[in-house]
Amino acid sequence: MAVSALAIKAVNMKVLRAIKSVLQLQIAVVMLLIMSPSSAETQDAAEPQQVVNRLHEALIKAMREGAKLGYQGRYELLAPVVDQTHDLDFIARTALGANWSQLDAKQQRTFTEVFRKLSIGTYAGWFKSHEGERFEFLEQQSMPRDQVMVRTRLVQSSGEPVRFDYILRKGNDGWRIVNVLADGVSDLALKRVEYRAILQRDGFPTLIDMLKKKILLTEQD
Amino acid sequence: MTHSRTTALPLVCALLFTGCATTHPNEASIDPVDPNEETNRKFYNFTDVIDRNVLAPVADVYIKYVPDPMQRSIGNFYDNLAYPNVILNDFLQGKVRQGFQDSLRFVVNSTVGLGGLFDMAAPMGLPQHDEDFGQTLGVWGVNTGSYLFVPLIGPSTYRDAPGIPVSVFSNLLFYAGTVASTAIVGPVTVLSIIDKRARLSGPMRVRDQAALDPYLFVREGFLQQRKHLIYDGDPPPETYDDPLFDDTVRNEAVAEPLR
Repeated sequence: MAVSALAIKAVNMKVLRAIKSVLQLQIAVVMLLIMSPSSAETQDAAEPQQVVNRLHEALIKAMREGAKLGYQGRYELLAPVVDQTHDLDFIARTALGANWSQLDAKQQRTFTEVFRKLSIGTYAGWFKSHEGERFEFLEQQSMPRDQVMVRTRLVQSSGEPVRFDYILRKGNDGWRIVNVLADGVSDLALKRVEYRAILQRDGFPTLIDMLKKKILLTEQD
Repeated sequence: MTHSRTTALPLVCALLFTGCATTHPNEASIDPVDPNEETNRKFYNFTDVIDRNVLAPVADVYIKYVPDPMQRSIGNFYDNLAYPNVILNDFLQGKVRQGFQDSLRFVVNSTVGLGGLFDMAAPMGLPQHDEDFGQTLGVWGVNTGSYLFVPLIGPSTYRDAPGIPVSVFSNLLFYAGTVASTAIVGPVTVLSIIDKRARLSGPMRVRDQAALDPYLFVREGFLQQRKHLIYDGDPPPETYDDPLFDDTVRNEAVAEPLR
C-alpha cells in the first residue's frame, strides 16, 4: 500500500512538475510576446534622447577640460561625437535648399566639408569653460514628418537657462540630429536665409571664403 | 514702315529681356517677410555705426569695471521700473493668475527688494515673466506683418512696433521726470541705456562670431525668438518651420514649369 501510494505520489509529482514547466514555458512565451513589441517601442522612443545625451556629455567634457585641451583638443574630442550624433550631410544639403542641386558634385563636396568643420568648430569654440553648467532633459515630443523633438535646457550658475531643442530624424544610421533651436531660434533656418542671400548676391566661392573665415574665428577666444 | 519695324523689334526684345532680367532676380531676392529690406538695411547700418562707436565701447567699460552683483542690481532696478508693462500685458492676454502674481512680484520687489534693486520675489515663487504688447497682439491673432528695423531701437515688426510706445508709457522711468529733477532723471536714463546695451553684449557677440550677413542674422533670429516668446517658450509642434518641408515645396514649384 505504502509503496503504491508512494509510486502514485511520485507520478503525481512528475505530472505536476511537467504541468508546471509547461505553464512556466507558456508564461514565458506569453511574457515574451507581450514584452517584445513594447520593449522595442521603448527602445525606439528612448533613442533620440540618448543621441542628445551623448552630445551633451561630450560638450560638458569639452567644457570641463576646456583649458587643458585647447581649441584643437576640444575639436578632436567633439568631431567624432558630432559626426555620430548629427546628420551633417543632410543638414548641409538642407541649409542650401534649392541651391544644392545647382552645384556640381565637387562643389557639393567642398561645401559639405567646410560646413562640417564649421559645425564642429562652433561647438569647440563655444563650449570651452565650465562654471557649473549642466544640461537638463525636459521632454520629447513627436513632430510632423516622422521627426522627434528633444527639449533640453542648459542651466548656468548665474543668469537665465538657455533652451536647446533638437530636431531628430531617423535615417539609415538611426536617429540623428538635423537641427538645433537655441531659445527658439532655428540654426538651420538662420543659415538657410543667409546662405541663399549670399549665393544669389556673391556666388559660391564667396560663400566658401566667408565660411572659412568663420571657422578661423571659432578658434579665437 | 519697314525701317521702323526693324528698329522696333530689337527694341521690344531688348525691353522684354531686360524686363525679365531685372524683375526676375528682384522677385527672387525680395523676402515676403521683409519688403522694405533696402530701407531697413540703411537703418540697420546707421544704428550699427552708432553702436560700434558709442554704445558698445561704453557698455564694454561698464561690463569690465562694474562688479557683477552691482550690474545685476542695476538690471533688476530697471526691470522693476518697466514691470507694469508685463502686468498690463498679462491681463490683456487673459493670463489673470499670472497677472496677479506679477503684481505681487512688483510690490514685493519695490518694497522688500529696496526699490527693485534686489529680486526678492523670485525665491518666493514669483518668477520674472516676459510679456509685451507685441506679444499680446500675437496672442490676439494679429499676424507678424513686415519686418521693421527701427533706428537706434532695434529689430521690430509692424505688429511689434505699437508695443514701443506702450512700453515707454508703462515704464515708471517715463514719469520720474514729473517728481524728480532732470539732474537725477538724466543720468538715470543714460544708465538705463548702458544697462540695456550691456545685457545685449552676449547676443551681439554671437552675431559677430556667427553671422555671414549680420542684417539677415538679426532679422531671422529676432523673428524666431518672438514666435518662441508668444508661445511662452512652448511652441506647438505645428508651428515649427521645417526647412526640409520648405525645400520640397520650393523644389516642386521649380520643377513644375519643366513638365
